[in-house]
Amino acid sequence: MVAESTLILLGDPSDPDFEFNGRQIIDLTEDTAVSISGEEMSSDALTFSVKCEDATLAAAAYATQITIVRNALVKSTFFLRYVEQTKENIYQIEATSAVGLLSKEYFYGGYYTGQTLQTVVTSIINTNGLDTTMTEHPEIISLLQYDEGVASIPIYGWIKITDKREALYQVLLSQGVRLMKGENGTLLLTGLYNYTPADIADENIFVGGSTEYAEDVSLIEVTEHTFTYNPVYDEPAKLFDNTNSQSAGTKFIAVFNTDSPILTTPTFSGLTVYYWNCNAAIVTGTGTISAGKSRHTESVISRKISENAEGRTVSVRDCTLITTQNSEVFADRLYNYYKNVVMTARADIKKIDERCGARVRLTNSLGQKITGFISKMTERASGIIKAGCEIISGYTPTAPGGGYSHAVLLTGSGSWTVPESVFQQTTPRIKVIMIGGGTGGGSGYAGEKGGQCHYGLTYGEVTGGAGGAHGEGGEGGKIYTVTINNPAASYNYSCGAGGAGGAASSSHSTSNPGSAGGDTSFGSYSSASGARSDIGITSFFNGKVYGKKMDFDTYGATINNFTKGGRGGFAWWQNGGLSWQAPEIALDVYTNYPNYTIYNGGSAGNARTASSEIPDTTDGWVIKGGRGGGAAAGGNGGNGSSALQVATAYMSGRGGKGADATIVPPKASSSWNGASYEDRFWGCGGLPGCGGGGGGQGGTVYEPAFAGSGRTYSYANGGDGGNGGVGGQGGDGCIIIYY
Amino acid sequence: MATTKIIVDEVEYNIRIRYETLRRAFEIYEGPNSGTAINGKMIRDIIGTKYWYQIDIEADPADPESYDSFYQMISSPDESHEVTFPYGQTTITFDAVIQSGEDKFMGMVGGKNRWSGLSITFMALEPQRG
Repeated sequence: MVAESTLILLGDPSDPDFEFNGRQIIDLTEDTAVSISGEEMSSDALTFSVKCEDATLAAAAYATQITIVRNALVKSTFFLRYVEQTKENIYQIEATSAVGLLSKEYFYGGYYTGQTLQTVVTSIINTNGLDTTMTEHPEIISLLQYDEGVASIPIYGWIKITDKREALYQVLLSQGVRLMKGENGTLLLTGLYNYTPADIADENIFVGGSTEYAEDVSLIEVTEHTFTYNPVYDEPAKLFDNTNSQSAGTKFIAVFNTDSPILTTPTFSGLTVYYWNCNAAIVTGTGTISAGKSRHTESVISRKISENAEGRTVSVRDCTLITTQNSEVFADRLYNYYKNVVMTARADIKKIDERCGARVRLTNSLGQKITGFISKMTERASGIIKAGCEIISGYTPTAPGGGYSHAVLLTGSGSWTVPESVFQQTTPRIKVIMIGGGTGGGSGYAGEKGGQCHYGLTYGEVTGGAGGAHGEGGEGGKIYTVTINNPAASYNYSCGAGGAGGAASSSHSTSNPGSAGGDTSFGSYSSASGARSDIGITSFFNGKVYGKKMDFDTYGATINNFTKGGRGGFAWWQNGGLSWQAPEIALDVYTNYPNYTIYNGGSAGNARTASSEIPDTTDGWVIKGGRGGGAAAGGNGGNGSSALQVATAYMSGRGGKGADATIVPPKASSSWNGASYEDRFWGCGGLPGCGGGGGGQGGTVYEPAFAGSGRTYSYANGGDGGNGGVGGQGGDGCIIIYY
Repeated sequence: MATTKIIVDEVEYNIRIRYETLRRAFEIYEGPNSGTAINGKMIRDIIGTKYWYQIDIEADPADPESYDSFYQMISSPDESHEVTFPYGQTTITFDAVIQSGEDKFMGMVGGKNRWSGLSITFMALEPQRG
């Protein structure tokens, strides 16, 4: 039996299905908890027994709302788990909080780029993460209250497929927000604050209790998660395939086979798609889903608390909502907790109005007056409520949320003034990413010298000189990141210039590499302390990539195909006659992309008969002109020479020279190809030089025509290959600052 | 003999209460949350007040059947009985637990068995006020 002022309502509290007063309630226990460090999120529990003559109580539905009322005020809200009849007219009921209810349901996650905490929390509670029209738990949504500033906290990062409780926990953990019982049975999303503590009088503290000093924690380690997607490096992979299954006529959820979020639009083949996100899709039909997977990189932020080698290391590794944006603040929050918590006091109190998360002052079991937060509370109702409490003392909480909210890009050189808003933070802090100048692009390779075509050689046995390949894109500048706490008012900075491209190459097998770019400095820090990265670094707020190795994703595959030199022309014997392959063209795609200029291969030289020179257009005898040289970006291939006759001596024509690649690639970070790409060039490697054109094949000879004629003949050489072009200059360095 | 009426389960029995044998008592009933505070004060977990009534019964010689009915009723294996007793200048009605009783056979008079010395304690099933 409990105090008559207690009421338990089952169902809609304004029109309950069952109502029990204190006389009908045999016993009642309520367990609540709020993790003061924020590292846990528990499900509150309610257990009670009642006398009830209505047997339909046993059939009360799962998740029926249960409201605890005391002295006409709503104190708690729970949701039914099960009812068990223990005796005639006696029922035991177990219930859980909204958090417990959510642990039974799946959430298909999401990737967040600054959506508000309220938006994300509502999505978790009300939907499966895919179907945005769902409203699964309006009863829980109606209970939520957001403390000032909490609802608008931006959320960044990934939530993988998990249960809703875990998803909600990750959101709250990442932002230092607690979910605790509010007034009138509401659920309050709030931070912990240094409120004026409420006194618990000695006359309300039971004899007994205990005091435990805090464990020694020596190190905090927080894993920061970054997800990047690069269409060049991250090739499409099959995420889902049900082609071996019966066609599914009803909607189902296709879970992507990936351990990182999909950050590009997947290709859905054969499936009808209704909703999709980074982890899964709602579809019908039979087919496949493909997309490039993002890369997941982890870095550890650490905070040393003590030198004690025996001390424990507290690690938070798996919260993928801890990103560049909030990792420092998160680590600070844990550091502040473990550095300052002194003791945990346990005491039974006569509960007046205390609740979990409240800041209280009381006498502990050692007779000391302490101030702390109630982290756990087990309430047993009778005439009074006796509450077993755990109180964490010594901790001064920091505000929820926080982290970086702005980014600035510096180029060139000058002085940067730290914004005033930085100094208004609890811990003034900026994060500086220095990216050195990119290395110049490698030169193109020279074209290959054309060959000779002897009588009878067939296709495959003869070729013109191969065009030279384009060079390698330059490496990105070195990247160095530093976090500056309590920054100075301003900093001088200087961004390194991009390195020069490699000099033109006359070798078909060698490219001249570009020069390294200059270092970028910010105050006393320098990018020279960092390292290069093929994939560069992604700016957290705008998703642009800086400081990466030059590749072709910026321009498209077309450039990859056409920055090489053209092959020289060639001829071969086939079916008793000659066939020809014209020299290849080349394109200059650098000068006016996406438009381009075509460069052509050279023409073939004239042939000679026994009596005259004729255009080399027929299969007649006798001795042929050289084939044309291949084109290169910036020039047409050279023409093949005509066949020669001196008295009775004949020589076939020399192949045309391959064109030199003379187009100079634009400097990375120039305004080439429009401003939309411009930011991506900063710190990037230089564009590759173009390949030279291949030499044309030397002219061929119809040898049977010379047999017994008294004339002699010889084969001319193929044309020389053209030089590979110079590489492009690397992009100038830059600095990204988060604050 | 007193003329006080005894009503049990809404039935009035024609029996007599021996003079000056109706006694009452109370107990402030406390729950499991009672204890002692660190400053030495009691922390009380008051559920309510339980009342006790004790009476000695005699049969009306002219109506021994009524006594027999009363005996049959109070010795029935029921959880409780609703009883009404004097309370101040009025009455109090509550569910009472009867756990035991004993009387003595006094022989036969006028062809009827006589019983005497029945003493009953009525203990409140649950606290009355709280």
